[in-house]
Amino acid sequence: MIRIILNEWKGWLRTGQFRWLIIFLVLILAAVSYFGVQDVAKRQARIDGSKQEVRDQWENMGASNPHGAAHFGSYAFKPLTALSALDEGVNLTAGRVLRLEGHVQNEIVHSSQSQSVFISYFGPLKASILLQIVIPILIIFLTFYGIKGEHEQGRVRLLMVQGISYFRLIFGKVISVWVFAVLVLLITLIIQLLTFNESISGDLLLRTGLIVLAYGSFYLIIGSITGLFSLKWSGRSSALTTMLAIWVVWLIFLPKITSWFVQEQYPLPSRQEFTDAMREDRSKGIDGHNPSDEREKALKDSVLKVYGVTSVDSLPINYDGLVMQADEEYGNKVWDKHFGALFGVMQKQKTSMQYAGFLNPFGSLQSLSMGISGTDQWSHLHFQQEAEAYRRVFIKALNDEHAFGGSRTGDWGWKAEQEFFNQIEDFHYKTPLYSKVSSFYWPDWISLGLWLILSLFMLAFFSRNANPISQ
Amino acid sequence: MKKLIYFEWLHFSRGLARPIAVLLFLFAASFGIYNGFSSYHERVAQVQAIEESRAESHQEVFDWFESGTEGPEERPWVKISTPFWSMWYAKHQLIQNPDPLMVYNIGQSEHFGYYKRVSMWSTAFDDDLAAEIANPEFVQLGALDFSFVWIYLMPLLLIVLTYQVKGLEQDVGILPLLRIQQPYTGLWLLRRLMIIGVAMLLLLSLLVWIPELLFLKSSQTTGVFALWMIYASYLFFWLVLVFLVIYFGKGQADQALKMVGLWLLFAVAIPGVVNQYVLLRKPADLMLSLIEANRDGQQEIWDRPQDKVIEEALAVLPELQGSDAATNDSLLERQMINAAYRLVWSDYIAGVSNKIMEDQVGRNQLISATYWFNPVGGYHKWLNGISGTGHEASLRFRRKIQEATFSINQTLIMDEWKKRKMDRASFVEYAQMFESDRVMERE
Amino acid sequence: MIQLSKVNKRYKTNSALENLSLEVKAGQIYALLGANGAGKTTTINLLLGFLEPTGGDVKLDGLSPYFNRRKISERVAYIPENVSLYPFLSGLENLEYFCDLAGIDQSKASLVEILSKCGLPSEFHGQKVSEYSKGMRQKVGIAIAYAKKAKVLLLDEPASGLDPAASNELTGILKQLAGEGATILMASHDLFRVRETADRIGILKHGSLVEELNAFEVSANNLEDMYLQYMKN
Repeated sequence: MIRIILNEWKGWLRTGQFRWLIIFLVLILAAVSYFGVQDVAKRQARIDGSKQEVRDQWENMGASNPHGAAHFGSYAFKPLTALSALDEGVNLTAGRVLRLEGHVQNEIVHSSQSQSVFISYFGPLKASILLQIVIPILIIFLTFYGIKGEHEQGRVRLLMVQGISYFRLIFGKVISVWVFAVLVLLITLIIQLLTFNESISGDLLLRTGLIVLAYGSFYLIIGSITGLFSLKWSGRSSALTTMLAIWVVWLIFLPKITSWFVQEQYPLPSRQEFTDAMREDRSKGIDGHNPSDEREKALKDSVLKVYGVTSVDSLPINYDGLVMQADEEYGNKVWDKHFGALFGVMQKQKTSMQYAGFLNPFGSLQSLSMGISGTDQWSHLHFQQEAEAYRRVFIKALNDEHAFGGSRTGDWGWKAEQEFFNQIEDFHYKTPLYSKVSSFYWPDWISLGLWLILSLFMLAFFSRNANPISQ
Repeated sequence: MKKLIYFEWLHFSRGLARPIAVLLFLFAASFGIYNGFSSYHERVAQVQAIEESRAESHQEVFDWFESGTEGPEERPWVKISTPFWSMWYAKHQLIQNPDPLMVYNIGQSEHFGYYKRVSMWSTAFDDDLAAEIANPEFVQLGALDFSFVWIYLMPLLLIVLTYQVKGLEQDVGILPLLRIQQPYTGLWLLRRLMIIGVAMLLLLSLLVWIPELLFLKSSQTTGVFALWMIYASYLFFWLVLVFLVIYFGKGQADQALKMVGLWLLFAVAIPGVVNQYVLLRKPADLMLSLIEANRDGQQEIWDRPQDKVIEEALAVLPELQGSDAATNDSLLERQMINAAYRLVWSDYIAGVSNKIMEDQVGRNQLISATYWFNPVGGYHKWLNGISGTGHEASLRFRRKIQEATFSINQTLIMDEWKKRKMDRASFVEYAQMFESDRVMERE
Repeated sequence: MIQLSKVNKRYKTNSALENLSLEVKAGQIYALLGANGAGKTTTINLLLGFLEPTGGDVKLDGLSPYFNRRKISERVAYIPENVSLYPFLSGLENLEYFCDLAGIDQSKASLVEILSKCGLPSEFHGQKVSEYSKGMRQKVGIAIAYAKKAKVLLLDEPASGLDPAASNELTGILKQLAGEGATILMASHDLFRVRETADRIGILKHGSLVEELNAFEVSANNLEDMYLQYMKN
């Protein structure tokens, strides 16, 4: 087998066209990896700079009314993961800036793609684009011509008379292309790691290893299926056309069709419906119970009872702060209900897409690539949830200060000192470790695993039972 | 020629691969048109729902005017007879009307909001101008519209239909024979490709004109014709490429590999490199200037002394000069002063927004400069321009929002300073301020 | 060494061989003559174990090839009409590769010697096969067979397309191999070359052996008359 692999490689290296193609591919991957890392580093520096600037503004706003500060707000900037340099995922479509303020939960806005005319359907030329689109097509061509070439040039009989089984010959061809593809993958990842500016954590190494596993499995699937078609289809054009058709269907067709189908199955509300429903629940109470005026009356009664006074003006605290916090907490419940539902629908959409991987292993690879790189939908939603959790702590601190900081009800001109605001910690988001989120990606791994087993089994079965001279 | 067409038909029909590829393509194209059509209708329905909800809310205001009340009971501070509250309850919705050409080209529209409530505090980059709620992974996948099918799948179909032309003859060794029979191989090749090209053009015409007749009821003939021309020129571009590959080809495998290589180059690599270059040269704006404007800038304006702000308001809006309040400070009331602050603020924030938009135009120019070697990007921009579904249309919409905000503040200060008393008729006047702006944003 | 008794081979409705019986002994060169489609290549494929006979018995060194492909491949060598080698490898590298696949461990020096012995001039050993003539590739093919020390050599139209000198050289090499004890079965329709090379000649028509004779018993002219007569009937 090793001899077949080495011979195959020797063939590519000694064939001018292939040699240049391989050199070009490795160079372009190296360049893409290098620029990818530089780009991510540059963008992350901008994010860090913006974060710092926004925090500086917060720390220099001077003595302010806490409620005014709640509207001054804070901003969460979604950081880039190290592997964004490999796979941008939803980075460029989903926005990076989230305004955190009182009363309202905003959306992450200002995506890169909303800031210019259309540039690229497949996104910036990141390593993942080459690894997902270009390498598979190269695998298809190399495997196909590796096998068909032996038949067309009439070497199969000569090889088999030497005692090598057809099964070994076919597997040798498939594996030689696969090893080449994995080598290219490894070179890409090593360049990524070497040019990476920060220290390499265990989590990053684990993620990198999983990237190798996911892509390596996919490459073997593609190679085996091409091998299979090269065996089964006697005509050169039908095998190649079929394989190219599969590539197009997997890469472009099925993801589009399945995403459309999934959206039809689990539709999301329109923005208007979503905000109207939130507003409705907030004013009239969730599901029509406990409207805002009743809630406020109940709060007032309880506070007056606790302090043993008859009017809010007699309270030793600022009642407005309590009202705002109570409203905030109710608003949080409303948000949890609606965003929870939204999150649930998106999760169902994602899971359905993952199950669609049983029809399309490319879908599983894409999902894993983004997931492992921390640039998928789940990572995006996780950031949004973490930012919201911070917003709640942030606003509560401000409302509490408003209520108990020393002012009295109706005293909107009262100001808290700058030191108080400085005590409130800034939002620091950390991408969760892969081990904590791995359970999300099991369907993708299972689908890829099943495809791998099935394609290898089929190739083994048919190459063992094929009559080599009838090909 | 008849014979050539007949032989081309034989090439096409003997074997399953090519007919299946055409069927798949037809399915994708029809699906793309259906998708565009349903996106368009969703938007039309959404706009209608917004209009209805706005009309309901206006009815409420009419009731207040009729009953002589100043606003809702639970909001005693509302005074509908003042310009401020009338303007507030006019609930202006600026809408970028969905373009029927979306049926063919959804373009970038999924990235932008197309309706926005505009008040005296609005900016062109408010968070509520976000795109529709969508799964980010689906947005990233992009819309499957007809343009997508034509730009990315049509070349692949063309590859399937043509990679055997001359390649097959070369592989089976009958090319020398052919050369003896037909000394002008280039002409023979041209004729064969012309037949395939004309067939593709017919396919395009059917796919483009049938929806226009059936769904759009012949209402968009000029626009559809413009799209058809662009699609046809894109087909021509690929036919030229395919001709060159085949002319210099060395067999089926060589031709297939080169054609797929060209597809990868034009559809994936070049746009990808341009995208990466733009990211490095002009990374996405994190809107720090807007954040600063909304925080420090706004605060700084509100901290300015009243007389300075009045002076600035008079400079921004010289028409105010002749009013009584402008000549006599003692006539200035709180709401009149607030109107001046808002006017100055909206003038300021318009400047900030314009700067952001200028940056975006600069980014667009950087991208446009690549179109001579990045035709796919160029075609997308061209198509999006015609169907009003690109970034430039969204910028025009943002500009309108900014202008509307300024216009609201301008009207408010004029009326506040005149102490205008609002009634149903003047409220309707407010409510209809931007009716004429509801147009499509085609180039 | 080679024994076929009453062998039949059918492809769907077509009969490729009918009751074919022949025997080739060690050290003998047997030539199968016949028109295109007479069943020559089918006979070779049966002996290589690529095809299963529909009826009758095929034996090579006492083994049934179809059911003992692995063992057969140790005993047999095959030279097709067109020896297709890896064009990016030199003649020597091709020989080395094919030997390696067969599990033959030969030193480079001995492989060079084999190539020379099979008639490939040493200046061509390191040259890429893509630059070889058909005759040179044929010699590498014979070298592969030789290196394997195969007991049986199966040749399918070995002289087709070779110039007279190369063809003559091939005859010499085959005779030398037979002299060393190899059993050789060659399929051909080159009457002159067959007459020169083979010990025994069989004429195949529609899958049946219509004549079998010793080569020394006939002149080339007689053989041609006989062959044409059979083809006419």
